[in-house]
This record gives sequence, structure tokens and C-alpha cells, in this order.
Amino acid sequence: MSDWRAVAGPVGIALLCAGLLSATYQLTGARIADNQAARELALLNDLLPTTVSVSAQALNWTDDQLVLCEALLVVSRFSASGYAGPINGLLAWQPTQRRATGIRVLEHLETPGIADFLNETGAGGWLGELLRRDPEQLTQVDAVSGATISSNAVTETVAMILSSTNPLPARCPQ
Amino acid sequence: MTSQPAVFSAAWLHNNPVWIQLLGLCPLLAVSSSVVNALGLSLATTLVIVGSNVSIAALRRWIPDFARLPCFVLVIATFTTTAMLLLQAYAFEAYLSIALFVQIIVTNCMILSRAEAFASRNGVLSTLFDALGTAFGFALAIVVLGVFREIVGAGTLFADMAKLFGPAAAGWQLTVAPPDWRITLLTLPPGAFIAAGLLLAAARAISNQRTK
Repeated sequence: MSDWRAVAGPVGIALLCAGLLSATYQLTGARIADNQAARELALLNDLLPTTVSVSAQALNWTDDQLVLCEALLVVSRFSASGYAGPINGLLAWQPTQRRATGIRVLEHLETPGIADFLNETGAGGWLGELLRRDPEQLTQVDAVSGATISSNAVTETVAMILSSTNPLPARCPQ
Repeated sequence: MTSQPAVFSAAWLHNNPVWIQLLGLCPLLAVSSSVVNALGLSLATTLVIVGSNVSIAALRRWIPDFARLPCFVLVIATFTTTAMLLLQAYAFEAYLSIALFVQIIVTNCMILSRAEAFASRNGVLSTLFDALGTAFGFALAIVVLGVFREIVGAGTLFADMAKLFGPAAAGWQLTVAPPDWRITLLTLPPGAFIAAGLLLAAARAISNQRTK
């Protein structure tokens, strides 16, 4: 094989691959975004108390925060730095009492099996334990054994959100 | 030069990637807990192996020998990402339950070994049959294991097929065991090893019978 072919071959293959990927992305990007938005909305309604429900039209995310004035609740999108990548999810909290009321993980790249606790939403699960603690006690929650980095990432992120500025006075008309 | 049907049956039967060559065992064990997961991963794997190996066969004269592995992996990774995007767009629920195992199709040695051993040395048409045969052999193994584990472990068959085939498939679930039937072990990872071992032994027994 001549020298120029040895260079042109791999370069051409790389270009073909890039073309195929970008064509697939053009084809599927919009549908994927719709699917992800629908899933986020479903999890959001699952996360909020049954008395509160939100529709896609009423969503008004500002700086990854959704302020629900009547319920005195804030939902924050979070992205914790887990072991293998970001752990993205939603945290509902009461800024006046600085308590978390609900948490859902949307997606993560942690090891399946070991990080399954991130998807267990029952009160008896590890995520439920976070909701029962006062913010200053959060760091005392034991990490899940075998998943210290994942658990600490979530705990620290929740503690950080709970100690952030209360957005209610600025965002809700008196 | 062997005929195309012979290439196909060699790929799925005589050299079955899973039961004979013992390749691709990680997704086999991890994703076979139910039929819907097994079918979802089979579809994704089929797309990757057919797409990548046919492309490699078509481009084989342009792939320099010293850089062939990076070229193969690049092509396989491209098709894996394509399969991921397509699943996310058209079968999002199914994607969520097998997401990681779709991503690691790229490291499935079954695909790389067919690229190296077959696609880089044969024409496009033969490679198409070889890739289809390999994909069929893998799908057969993983779906059989999925059927076995779902029936024995959960007492159902074809549960949650709507994840993959849309709302029309919601009524496909069959209950094949008494309502309180549940052998959780079979749906957990250790059960995967036990079930795969039993099926492997059965496959060996059958092929020994045939050669005698």
C-alpha cells in the first residue's frame, strides 16, 4: 500500500464516520430532546406532593430552578460529580425550612448494580434517608458501601442546594 | 470461497459467538434478565455488527494493515453511537433500562473478532451474511436466556414489551406460572451465571450428539 493511501484511508474513514454520526444526530436530536423533556416532566410530577401538579406549558425554569410560589417549594436541577460522570437529577426543597422534600435521579453513568440505590425512590432507600435529615446533619449520612464517591457527590450537592439563597422572596410577588 | 448460506449458518450455528466461541458474555449475562431487554440489546448489536462489518469490508482496501485496529474500533464506535441515538429517539424506555450495555457494545470482542477474522478479508456480500449470522447467533443465545430467566425467575413472558414496540405491545405479557411464582435468584446476576451454564451445557450436549 502506498504511503498516501495509508494516510488517506484512516482520514477518509474518520470523515465518513463523522458524517454518519452528524446525519444520525440531525435525524434523531429533536426526538431525543422531546423524550428527555417528557421524562423530566414525569419525574417532576412524581417528585412533587400530590396536591401540586405541573404541566409542560407552566414550566418556567430559571437558572435550573423552578419556583412554585403557592406550594412554597423550589425544584432545583442538579448535576453531581459522580464516580464515572455526572449524576443529574431534580431536588425539591422548602427554602423557608431548608429541608429537602423529594429527590429523583434522571441519569447517571455509575456502575449498574452498585449504583442502583440512585434509582430507588422509596422512603426506606438511601435517597429517602437524605430527606429525613436536617441540612447540617447531611454530612453524617453514611455513604453506600462500595459507592462512596457516588453517595458523597449526591450528599454534598444536596447540602449545597439547601444552603443556597432562598429564591422565594425575589421570585414570588407578595 | 464458500457460498453465502454456508457463511450464514457457519456464523450462527457452527461458530455460534456465544455458545461455541464464548464471546460477548458480559452483555449476555447482564441484559438477559427479561425478554424485552434481551431483544433491545440484540437489535442494537445487530445494527452495530452489520453496519460496522459491512463498512469495514467495503473500505478494507483503504485500511492500512498497521492501523487496522484503530480503524475497526472507530467504525464500530460510530455505529454504536448511532444505535444509541436511534434507541433514544424511538425506544426511549427500552434505552433507559439497557443504556450502559448499549454503550459498551463498542468493546464487544465478538464484533471486533469478526471484523479482524472475516470482514477485513472478504467481500461485502459475504461479510453481510457473516455479520447477519453472527448477530442472529448472539440474539438467539441472549433471547433464549432471557426467555428462560423471565419464565423461571418472574413467571412471566414478554412483560413490558411496550418499552420496545410501543403501546400496541402492552397486552403481550403472558403469565406462565402461578401468580405468586417468583425465584428472584434467576433474575439477579448469580442466576445469570447459573442459567447460562445450564444452557451452555445443553448446547454442548447437542453438538456432541451431532458429531457422533
